[in-house]
Amino acid sequence: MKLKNKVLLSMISATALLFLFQNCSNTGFMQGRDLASEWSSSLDPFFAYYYQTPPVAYFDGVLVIPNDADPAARFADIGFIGSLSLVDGSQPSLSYKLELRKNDGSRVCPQQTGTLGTRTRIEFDCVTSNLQLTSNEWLVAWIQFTANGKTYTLEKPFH
Amino acid sequence: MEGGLLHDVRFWLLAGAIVKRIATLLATLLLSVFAQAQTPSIVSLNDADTLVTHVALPFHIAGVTVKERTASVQSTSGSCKVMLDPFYVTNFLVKCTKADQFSVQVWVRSSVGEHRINYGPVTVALITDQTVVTPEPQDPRFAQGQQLFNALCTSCHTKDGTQLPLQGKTAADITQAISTVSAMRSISLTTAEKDAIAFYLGN
Repeated sequence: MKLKNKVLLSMISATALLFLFQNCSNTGFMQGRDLASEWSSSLDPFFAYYYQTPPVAYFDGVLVIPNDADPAARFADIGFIGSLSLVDGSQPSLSYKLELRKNDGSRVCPQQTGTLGTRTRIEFDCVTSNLQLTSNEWLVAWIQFTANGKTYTLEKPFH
Repeated sequence: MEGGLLHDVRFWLLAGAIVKRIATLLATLLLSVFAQAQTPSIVSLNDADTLVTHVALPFHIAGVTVKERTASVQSTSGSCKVMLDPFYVTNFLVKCTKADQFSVQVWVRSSVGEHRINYGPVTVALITDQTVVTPEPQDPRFAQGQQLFNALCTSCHTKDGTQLPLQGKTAADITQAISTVSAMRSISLTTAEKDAIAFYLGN
């Protein structure tokens, strides 16, 4: 058989082999545009998903405020119960600083520091001094944490 | 001469077919082994102590390269909902508002095929046994809309309707007002900003 024919047959065989593995490529991965369209369609106020960019960690929680009849005493003692966990499932030790602030950035109670390991729950008891909120003010849970040698900040607003 | 060439072509065609068949079998075998090695699983990103009401519970699909996924949740009290993370194709969140028990059904399309995963039941405890008010965090548009409204609109309008009431106004109404009301013509807003103001007015 001529060399030309051998080359031709080899090329056909190689092409056939390539076709066999075409489904193994990564072309089906969601690209940025697909993710963005999914973002707008999947946002649900029920979840109050407030991240505008891909977060490093999920930070969520609620404020627990005594149902006090006296409005002046309502924010005297605020509890925060929430969690902080890395998005990729790895759980290194996370050092964090947590503050409860007003939306203008002013701190309403002393900062709490802590370290999370396998436990992802955060509880924070915030005793305030005569805190009252006007209609234009709201509370923000502010957290700063260190993961994989970098420091990140997340803020969760409570209107 | 011609007979020799024909014989050669037949030989190589046969050899090619055999090689292709063997390659197909090998590929199928490899994919099968690969698929078995890649079994997806669902991992809760929060520890059990954090599975409480009102806090979004994140979950991660591990073990495969996820291309696409859908998820549905069923719960005893019907208070739980599921949301796909818009940034991470491997993640989804579940949130419940009552003490509940939920199960999640996830469909995943990965590089090795399709998978259906059932996860649960997961017990969600009441966040606290005290009588409390738990302010629900709102849509980010609320804060943006409030900020824009206070900066641009409060010289003439109030949200509560005591001055030029705006309740129920939509983004389209705002667009029309900007183009027709002379005092508002200097205002320049993007569609998203108008939407945020309309959202603030409606909430």
